[in-house]
Amino acid sequence: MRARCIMICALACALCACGDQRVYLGDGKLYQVALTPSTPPVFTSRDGALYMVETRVSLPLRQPSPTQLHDLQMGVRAFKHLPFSRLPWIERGDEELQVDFSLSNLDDTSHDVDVVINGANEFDEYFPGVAVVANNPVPMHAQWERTYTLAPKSRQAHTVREEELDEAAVDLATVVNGVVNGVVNGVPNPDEVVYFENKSSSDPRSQKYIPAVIPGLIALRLGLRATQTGQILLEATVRVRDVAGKLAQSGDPLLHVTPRAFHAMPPQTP
Amino acid sequence: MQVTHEKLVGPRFARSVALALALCVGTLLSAPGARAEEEAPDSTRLDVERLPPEAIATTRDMYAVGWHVRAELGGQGLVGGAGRLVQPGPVARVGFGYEPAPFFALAALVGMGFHPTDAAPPPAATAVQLYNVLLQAKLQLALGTRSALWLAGEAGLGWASGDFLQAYGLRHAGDPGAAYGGSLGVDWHLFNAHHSLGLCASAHLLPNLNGRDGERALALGSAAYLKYVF
Repeated sequence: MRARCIMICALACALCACGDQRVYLGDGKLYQVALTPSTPPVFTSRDGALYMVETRVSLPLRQPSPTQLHDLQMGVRAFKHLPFSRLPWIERGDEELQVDFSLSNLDDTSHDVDVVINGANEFDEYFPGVAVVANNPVPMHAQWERTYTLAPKSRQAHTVREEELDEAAVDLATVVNGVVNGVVNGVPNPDEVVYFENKSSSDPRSQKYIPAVIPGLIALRLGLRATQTGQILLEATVRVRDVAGKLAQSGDPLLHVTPRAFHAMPPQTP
Repeated sequence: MQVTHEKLVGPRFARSVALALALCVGTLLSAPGARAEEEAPDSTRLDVERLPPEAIATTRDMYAVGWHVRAELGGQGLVGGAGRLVQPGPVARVGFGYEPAPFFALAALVGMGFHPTDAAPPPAATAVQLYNVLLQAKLQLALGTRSALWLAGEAGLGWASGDFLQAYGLRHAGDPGAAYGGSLGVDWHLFNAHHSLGLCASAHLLPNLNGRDGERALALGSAAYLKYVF
């Protein structure tokens, strides 16, 4: 009898473990963005230019009901100094994201190019700024970025795992909280917070700014960044694991929010 | 007087000796006579001499006919269409049906195949399950007492799990769509009225897994099965 109960529990756990809905976002399930010779620079300086192309990926989330929204507005009172006017409808861990991409160099010459990903939650969206160092534009770090050297006519693929984008959600909440509540402790350097080697779980410089409630990401911007143009193609899929069951099903009213732009600027030197 | 006495004693002694000898001879003769009497058969012992010379011959009429279940395990691969995105993989199928006659059977089959993906990223490599629910009409031809050849026509629904294939333009891969084809098999009956083993090969067209350019998707599979007739 006991063995039978254990078997039933194990089977139930296995079924629950398979319960998260996993879907690739987008109508065609594929996002494409390309740098071409005709791509205009987004930033120019005396000795250089910066080229960047991006595409935005939004999660189709259902709206909270009026009662749920009221609870979120009331619930924020339980926390001091949250940088949000209400609790987030999508919290960290509600929706787990994974990005798979391939990068193709269609040129006969090699190129150095950055793949960049920045996120947005219900309240804020991260926009890294550009610093000019020795007359050259130096972009601040994106929330996730890697530099690839692409051989002529070559193709590379990579997966940005769920925990890496979870870190992006924590970093976004941290830098926003640092600006709002950093009067006492000092505003953190956002470039330092989002740098991929600095983990919120172990970096004491950012840990004191991590808010008690962390909103989850509801949108991503995928893009390419380079100091030269070329024929570079980024193809990506974004998979979401709907842990909290908040993805909109057919007929559900969609969540529409407009996050504030958080422009990360280089620290001012005295 | 003495002569008279001898005359009287002599014949009496002789008669006694003759009687004793007769008794001994009679006793000796009576013993073999008792062993020769006939003994009745012992019903508690197997009398091998009374068994038939050979066991009864097995015929297909002795096999059970009627409701049955079948479990299949084998491999499956796709040719064309989604076959350019997934690799061959294991397939398992369970069937339940009824045989109105030894040569004809109807069954419902539920199958699932596991296929690792083999396509250029993105998305990253993963695995796709192909499900199907089929109705089967089967004709069987007995080749002997134990073996039979069967041919079946099958039609039903088939679909793929998740939305991996949709990322490659197979927009309807996740929707249940028509699946139809057939199977050919060999059945080997055990010396038991209910059990048989077999091998089968199948081919099914899956239009909802056709390629983006319309290339047909054909699922080819083979499996070993165990069947039980109630």
